[in-house]
Amino acid sequence: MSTDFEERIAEYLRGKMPHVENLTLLKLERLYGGIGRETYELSVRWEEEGKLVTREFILRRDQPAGVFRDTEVSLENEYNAMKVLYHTEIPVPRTYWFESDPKWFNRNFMIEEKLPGIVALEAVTDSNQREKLVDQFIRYLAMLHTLDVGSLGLPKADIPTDPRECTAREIAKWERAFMREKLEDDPLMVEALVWLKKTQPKKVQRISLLWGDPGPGNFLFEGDKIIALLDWDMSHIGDPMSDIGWICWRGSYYEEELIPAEALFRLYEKYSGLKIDQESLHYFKVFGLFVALTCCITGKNSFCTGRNLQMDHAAIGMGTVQLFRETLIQWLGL
Amino acid sequence: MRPSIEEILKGIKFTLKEVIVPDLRSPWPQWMVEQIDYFIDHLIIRYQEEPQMLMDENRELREILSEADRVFRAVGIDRNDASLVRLADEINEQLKAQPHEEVGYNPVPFMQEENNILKSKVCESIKAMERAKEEGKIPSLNAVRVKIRDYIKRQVKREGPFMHSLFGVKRDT
Repeated sequence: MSTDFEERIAEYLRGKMPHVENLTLLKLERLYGGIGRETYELSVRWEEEGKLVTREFILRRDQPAGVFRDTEVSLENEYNAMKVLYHTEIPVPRTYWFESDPKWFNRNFMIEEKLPGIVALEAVTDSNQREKLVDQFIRYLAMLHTLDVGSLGLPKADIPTDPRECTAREIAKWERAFMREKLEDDPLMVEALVWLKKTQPKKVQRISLLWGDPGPGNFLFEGDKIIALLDWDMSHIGDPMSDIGWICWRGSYYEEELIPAEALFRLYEKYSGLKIDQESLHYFKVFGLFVALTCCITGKNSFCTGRNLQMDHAAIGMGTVQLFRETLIQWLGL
Repeated sequence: MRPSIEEILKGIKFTLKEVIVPDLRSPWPQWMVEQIDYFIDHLIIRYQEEPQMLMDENRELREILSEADRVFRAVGIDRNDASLVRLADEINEQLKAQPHEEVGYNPVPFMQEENNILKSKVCESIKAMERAKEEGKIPSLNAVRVKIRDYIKRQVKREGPFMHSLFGVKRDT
C-alpha cells in the first residue's frame, strides 16, 4: 500500500481526534474476502492525557466501481444502520466516522472499531460449537425483526405506512438498478421482473428493519459466541421474510447453508413469534436471486466500461451470473 | 496464420504457470493469475464455438420474432391495440434489415450486435404480452410466450459451457 494512503489516513484521524497528540499509524493491512468494499485493518497509537494508547480500527472504503452503486447499496446506509443498532441488543461494531468528502480518497469510507473473531463459519468443525453459533445468529435475527421500527430514530420517509409498500419499493429500486447497469438485453430478467411484480406477497406480518445480507461470512465469532453482526450496507425496511429468503437462496450455493431450512424455520418462529410463510419465502428467494444477479451485472458493467478492471468482476459478471440464471429458471418455473 | 489464436492462448497459460506463478509470494496475485488462467480457457472455448452459437441463436430469435410479428399484428388489429401493431411493425422492420450483408460474412461483433437487438425485441414482446394478458387470455399470445420461455431455457443451457470454465471446470481444450 502506498505511503501516501497511510499518511492521509493518519492526517484524517488527527483531524477527527484533536484532543490527542502524536497520533501515528503503526500498521495498515488490507483484508481480503468479499467483493463489495475494500477493508483495512489499522493499528493506531497516540498520547492522551499523558498516557500512550494503542487501538485498532477497521476502515471500509468504496471501490472505484464495483458490484454496487450508492443508489442501492451504500456505505452511508451501513453506517446509519450500525449507528442505530449499536444502542440495541444487536451486537454490531461501534462506528466512529463516515466520510463523503472526496478530498481524502475520492471515495466514501468509514471507520469502525475492530473486534476480535473470525467470520469463516466453514472453519468450524465442532458441530456443538456450530449449533450454538447458528442458534445465536437466528436469535439475533429474530430480535432485529421484532424491533419497533418507529422508535429507532430512522427517517419517517423510509418507513412505509402500508407493509405491502415495502416490497413494491424494493422492486422499483432493483428494477431501476438492473435497467441502468445492463449492457445486454436479457429476456430472463424481464420474465423475473414480470413475476416479481405480479406475485408480491399479499400478507405481510409486520414491517421490520432488515439486515439485507444475512448469512455465513457476515458475522464475527470467537469460540461459540457471536461477537458482532457485519455488512449492513443492504439494510432496509421491509418484510422479515425477505431476510429469511435471502438466507435460503444463499444457502443454495457455495456450501453456504447455515442449517437445514426446516431447523432454521423452527428456531426463527420460536424466537421471533412470527410465522414462516412458505409463499412469501419462495417469493423472496427469487427476489434475492434477482438482486444478486443485478449486483453481478453491476460488477460486469464496472469491468466492461473500464472502471474496474479486476478480473474477479468479470468472473462474477459471467460465471456467477450463469449459475444464478440456471437457478432462476428453475425457481420461476419456466 | 500460425501460431493460431488458440495456440497463442495456450502459450500464455504455460508462461503464467511455469514462469510467473513460481515467483509470486502473496495470495492475492496468485489468485488473480488463477483467474486469468480460467479466462484463457474461456477465451479458447469462445474462439472455437461462439460464432456457431451466435448463428444458431440469432436464427432461433428470428424464428420466434417472425411468429411474434404475425401474432401481434393479428391480435392488435382484432383488439384495436395500436401499441401491439406498432411493436409488430418494429419487429418486422428489424427482421427485414440485413445490416452487414455488404460485408459478405458475419464477424462475431456483428452477430453480437444483431443478437442484442433481437433480444431487445423479445424483451419488448414479453412486456407487451403481459400487458395484453391483463386484458384477457389470448391463446395465440400464450403460444408465443411459451416459445420465448423455451428459448430462454435453451439460451442459458447454451451459454453454460462458456461460463463454467470460469469456475475452473476444465474442458479438454
